[in-house]
Amino acid sequence: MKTIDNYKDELAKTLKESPDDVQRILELSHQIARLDDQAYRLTVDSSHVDILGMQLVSKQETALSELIKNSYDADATEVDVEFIDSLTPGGSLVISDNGVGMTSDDIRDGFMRISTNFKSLRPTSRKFERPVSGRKGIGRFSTQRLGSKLTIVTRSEDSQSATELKIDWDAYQRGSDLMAVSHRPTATTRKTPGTTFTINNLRDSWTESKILGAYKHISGLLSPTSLISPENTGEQSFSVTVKQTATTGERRVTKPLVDQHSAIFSHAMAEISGWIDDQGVARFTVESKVLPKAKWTDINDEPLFRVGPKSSKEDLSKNYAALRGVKLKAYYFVHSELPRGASSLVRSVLKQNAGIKLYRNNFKVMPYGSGRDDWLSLQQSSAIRDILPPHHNNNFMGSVEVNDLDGLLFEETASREGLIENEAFEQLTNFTRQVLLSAVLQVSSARGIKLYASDPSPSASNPHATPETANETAEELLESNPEDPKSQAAASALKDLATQNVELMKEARLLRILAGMGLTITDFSHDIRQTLTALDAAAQAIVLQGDTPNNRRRYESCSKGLNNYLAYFEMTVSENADRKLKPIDLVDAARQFVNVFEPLAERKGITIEPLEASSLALTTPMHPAEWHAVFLNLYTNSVKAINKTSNVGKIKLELGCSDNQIYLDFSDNGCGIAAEDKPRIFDHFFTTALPSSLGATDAEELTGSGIGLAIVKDIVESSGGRVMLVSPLSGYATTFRVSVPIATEDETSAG
Amino acid sequence: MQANILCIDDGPKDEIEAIANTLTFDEGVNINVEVMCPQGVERDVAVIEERLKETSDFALLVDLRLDQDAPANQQRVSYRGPTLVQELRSRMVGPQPALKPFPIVLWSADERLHLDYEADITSHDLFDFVVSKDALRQDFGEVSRKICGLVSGYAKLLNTGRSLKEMLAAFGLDEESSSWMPEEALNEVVDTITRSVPSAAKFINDELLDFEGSLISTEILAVRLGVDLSALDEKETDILMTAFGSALYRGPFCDSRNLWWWAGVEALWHEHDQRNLRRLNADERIVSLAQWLQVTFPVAKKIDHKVHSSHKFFTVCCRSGEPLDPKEGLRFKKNCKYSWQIQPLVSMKEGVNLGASAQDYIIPDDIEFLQDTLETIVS
Repeated sequence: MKTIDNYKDELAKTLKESPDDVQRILELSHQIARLDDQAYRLTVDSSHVDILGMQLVSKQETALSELIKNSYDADATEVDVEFIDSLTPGGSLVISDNGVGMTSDDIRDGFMRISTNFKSLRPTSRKFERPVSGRKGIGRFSTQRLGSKLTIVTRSEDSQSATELKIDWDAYQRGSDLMAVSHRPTATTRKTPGTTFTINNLRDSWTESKILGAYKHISGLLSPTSLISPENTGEQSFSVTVKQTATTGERRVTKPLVDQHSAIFSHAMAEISGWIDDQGVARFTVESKVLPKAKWTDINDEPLFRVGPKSSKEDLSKNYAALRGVKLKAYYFVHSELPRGASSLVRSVLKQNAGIKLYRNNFKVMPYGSGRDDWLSLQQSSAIRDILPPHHNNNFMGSVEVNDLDGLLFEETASREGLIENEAFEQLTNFTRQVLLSAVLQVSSARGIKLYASDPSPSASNPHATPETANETAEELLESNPEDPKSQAAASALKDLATQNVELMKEARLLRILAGMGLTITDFSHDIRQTLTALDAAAQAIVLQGDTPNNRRRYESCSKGLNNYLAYFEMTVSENADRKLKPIDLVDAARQFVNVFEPLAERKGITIEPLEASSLALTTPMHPAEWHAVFLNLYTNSVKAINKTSNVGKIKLELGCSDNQIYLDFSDNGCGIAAEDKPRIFDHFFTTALPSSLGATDAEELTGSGIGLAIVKDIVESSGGRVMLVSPLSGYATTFRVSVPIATEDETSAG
Repeated sequence: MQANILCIDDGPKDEIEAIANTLTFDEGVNINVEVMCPQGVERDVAVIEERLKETSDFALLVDLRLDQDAPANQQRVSYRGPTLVQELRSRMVGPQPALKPFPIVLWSADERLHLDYEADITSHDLFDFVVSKDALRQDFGEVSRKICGLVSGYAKLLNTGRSLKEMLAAFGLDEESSSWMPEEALNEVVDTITRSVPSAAKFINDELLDFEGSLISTEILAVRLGVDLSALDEKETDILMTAFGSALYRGPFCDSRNLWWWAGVEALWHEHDQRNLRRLNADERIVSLAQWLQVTFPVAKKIDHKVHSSHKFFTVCCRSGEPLDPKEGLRFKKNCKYSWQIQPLVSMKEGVNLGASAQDYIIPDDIEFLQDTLETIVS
């Protein structure tokens, strides 16, 4: 056995005669260190690499995904993965990326050095500043885990030549020292920067499902912007393509296995394109590879139309002439219809990338289509459930491209994110939304699902079934089968149900009033809160600063404001308990409304014109509170319409009689009602309200939910009346006419 | 301390004046408030420019939603507070800004702040300070002092030269005490101020003054000295503050709050006691202070809970304000962007009190630590 002195002599000799044999010098130095009696050192057995590889990366899918993550961290935009003869162990795997590559230093001090803190020190990648995704130091062990032979060819961005390094992991055998194994780099060529790992003698077999499993692991990194964003945006995307190659004798067959298109977009319910052509006509295309041919025909390059209830179509193609050159490309996904194997992958990609992004002159404009942004009001529309098929932001992945180099159409907000919401922007929003919704409705129609909340359900009840007809039917049944016990039982049950129904209708009538009022109360809560705070502050000022004229005026003004709200509450709540129907003096009711609401409207800069009405006949018997609910809902509706304009707001009430009816004309000078919306404004959940704020409260969402006018209609119709839109009074944009029958003489005297 | 405030709010004038008037309640400040209804961005900017010319010590108070109400027969405007302020801030950029920089405070009803403002993170750097109208009743003194502090802080920044040396002087530091302020922070201030004074003000307030780190609050100073601040009488307070007077923060925005350079405090301590404060318990620190200042200060008390045992206090619980040894603290979820910032801590007692909602405030590793500690105590 050699002594330490033998090794020292040998080292001295080697240093003198073969100073370039670094490996020998290292081995001898290690032997000297090992035999050193003066100090003991921890040494590492070669087999440690094997142990680390197996323990750190136990699953082969994890190993593959870690290597792909390394490509992502190296700022690659494309990664090609090829499995060669891998259906049984012993095959090869080639992972090639177009990232920044590795310099000699990177290989030596990074890849070949265990336990570096390189990734912890640099939490983002160099070029694109991506958050580093690979786990610390797992990459090299992943290659070791996958196969026994590794060849790395890498060229860094600032180098013309590439480096090749071959590693035989089997060289790390038990009994030898870790430092005793070395690998010699050689110079080679590679056309472009990037890194290729070739792993031979794969330890496991790689079936298609295992490969797809590994693909899922990296789905969070996939950024398929290249497929949805305009060209040349310079935006960093990240795509991974996986191929499988099989050799049979001389024959070599490669088939694509998975790429972003096949893994994600092929599962889209529809591929939607929309654009404004040179003639200024909005056109769109909707293709679906998922829907069966028997039910679906692609829409190909047709002028844009809106799908309406009962499959009516409305031409929208001429509405956006100013937006020439705008292009929309989107994929529509229905989460519940995603195939089982692809569902989690697609959902994961959607989670990161869903939304319709906006590109102006090839630059992405934030925040449109990112995070919680709802620039197309899809979230709002989904929440109010007027249109029923799924059309939330996360059902779409796509982009709108606007070329406006001269900035003639769109203007960015002063130094900040976003565009000024001018007319062009409004048109763009509208165009994009209409294309998406038209496509969704068209596709959903082919899927055979209900499109609108207002569409009749398949099990719609018979409109002629009333308590009266039920009672009549019961009587007929008894008369025609007086001896039949079954008929008697059926007739009795029918009568009971009719009685119950009458009670339920009464209850519904009251609930409608309460619902109508509840909706409007939320409109005032914010103002009341501020008035209370101000009253409190004014009182505090009197205590602390004295009863000065200013302090007194403010106190009294706030107190008066609060009393106005109190009057409103009294008006809405006090008569709710009165369940008796009685003829109503509409002039009185209207006057009471004007008195209470004049000061509340004034706060919003809105004038309620003085009421001009002499005495009129009484209405058919109603709950007094029903009229309060009607006034309130018409008022809040008007305020919202006025708020959508920059008009100095005004509201006018006119009363009159005609054809045995008493009518109320309620007018405002708000934004009016678009012709296409007129047929639907009384439908439940139909609304034209815009989102009131970024994070509206439940109350705010409720007030824009499209229930108010529907409640007014229900209330009025339950008394045999009607509510309709009539030609607006001169100087006003909207006039609602509410008419109810005049009370009969009997009703008047009974009342 | 004084300020001339223009308040732009769309609410009824009497109501807004009543609420804004609370800012004049505190006798220690001299504040004038003028309330104005928004009249269009250009008109609003013109009024602001006029006021800037007419008055000194100018600050702007803006309502979040300007687009909801209007006086009778006047058009409502269609923009919100942040839109107006974006315009103002962009005119304040550059070495020769079109508009002389001034502090801008956002105020709004509490629920609006939660819903509209907090969700709109792109607007967060526009305002020096955000205040809830509802909270003014209790906090009027603090808010009015803070606005005055902002006014004097802006004035200081505007009147300071842009060299490192001049900026150091503006922070009340000289060559000898220059190391008290992190070099990175000083460089950041000098870099930022040449581009935008409001950005520099925001950085100083949010990243330097609001974070425990190179600067500490009087509460933390007391705790680090082992002293129960709440039990000090006026004379004792005076002795203690005077002893550490040379470490008092005298930089921009110092008027509205008392802060201390920690390095300055440590230097003064070491003149009298070579031992590291961190390694001494509160009683030992009190003894050392008594030898130095001839006053035996009341000793800071440990949090009354079985999970707390250490008396080596070095910070305060960011929820309860009680003295805390960081070893017994749980890291509060707050992003520390700079090396000098110390993660705020919540006491384990507060962690227990928070129950299931602890996960909203405390980082997951420390919740596990709390559970382990509790299990150890039980076993």
